Amino acid sequence: MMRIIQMCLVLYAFALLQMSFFVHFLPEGIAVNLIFPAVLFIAVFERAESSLSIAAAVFGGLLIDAFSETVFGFWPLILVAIVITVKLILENYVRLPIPKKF
Amino acid sequence: MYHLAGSSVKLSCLPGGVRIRYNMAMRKLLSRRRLVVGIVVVFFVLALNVFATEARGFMVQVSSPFQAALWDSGNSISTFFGGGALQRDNQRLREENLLLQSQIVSLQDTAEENEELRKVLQFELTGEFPLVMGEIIGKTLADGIITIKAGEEKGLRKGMPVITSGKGVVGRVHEVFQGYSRIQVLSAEESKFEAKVAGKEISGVVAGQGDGKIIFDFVPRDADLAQGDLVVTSQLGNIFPENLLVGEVAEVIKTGAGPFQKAVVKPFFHTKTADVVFVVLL
Repeated sequence: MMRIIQMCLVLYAFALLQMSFFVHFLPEGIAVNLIFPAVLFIAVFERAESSLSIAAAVFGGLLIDAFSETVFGFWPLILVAIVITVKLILENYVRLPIPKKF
Repeated sequence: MYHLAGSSVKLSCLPGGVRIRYNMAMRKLLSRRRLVVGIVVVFFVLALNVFATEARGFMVQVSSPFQAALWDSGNSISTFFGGGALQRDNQRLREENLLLQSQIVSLQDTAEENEELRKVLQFELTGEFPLVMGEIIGKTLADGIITIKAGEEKGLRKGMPVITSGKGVVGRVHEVFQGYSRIQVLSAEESKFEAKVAGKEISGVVAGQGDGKIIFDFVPRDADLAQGDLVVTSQLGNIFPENLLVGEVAEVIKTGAGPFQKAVVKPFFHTKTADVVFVVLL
């Protein structure tokens, strides 16, 4: 539970940083998305039976939806689909010795 | 469709059949408890859509102090590394330039206006229409939305026009909360308003294209639209006050044999460099 809370706080910080801090350093019209790579990072480096990446995908997607004009649930759905695909591929087709940290 | 063999599942619906290892790990992932949690989350997300405005308002209110602090620190660091005082002078001169161009447009449109009107235009903006200043604290550039620190308590309402200090068009108020508002910028895909070319009898529609781009569309094909023309707001449509600066024509596009031409317009409002905007209380 503590890990999930920490993960939520980190994703929330990323959302604020991408909207209010990094906009000053990028060319006009370009925005950085920190939540996507964070969720993918968790998905790649977590154990197969862990669901932290799915929780991250749902929470991160809700954050993106809350700060944009899309319907709530749009980005969680996409991120969860990406995370499940990544987990399936890693579990069944990848034999690299990826360290499992989460 | 699928065939269980030991700990594997073969999906024959996929080309060549795909064998996926349905092992203990996957079984644990899809445990009953987690499925129940997942269903609860799905219902929660669906319920959020019923209270979408309140949910977004709550997020804005909770996040705005942090956003304001991050905005200020990002601004300070980018100013420091981007030239410091030189960049501030550049920004001040850019705003002055826009104001001067706006004055030229007003004089062209009403030629008989005299020296006294020119003095009136050189006074503060509040001499023309009531304004509320809003400090920008966040941007969601993908949707063409910026968040400002001014809301219901200052008289803001949805649909009110938003401009810069140099009388350049920013956009319109999209959502209003207590203390904060979200502004849809003119380059947002849903943004459309009537406009004209300063000094010429050419009218059209400015439409946002996303990613900071706008086009000037539905201009009659035989109109003398040229690169460098100044696009300003018109009174038609009753969205913006007249003669507010929109941008400069960068490229004229005439395709096919249709009755209209269009132009790519370089907007005067830059989301990256602007720190404050003004809401026109109409």
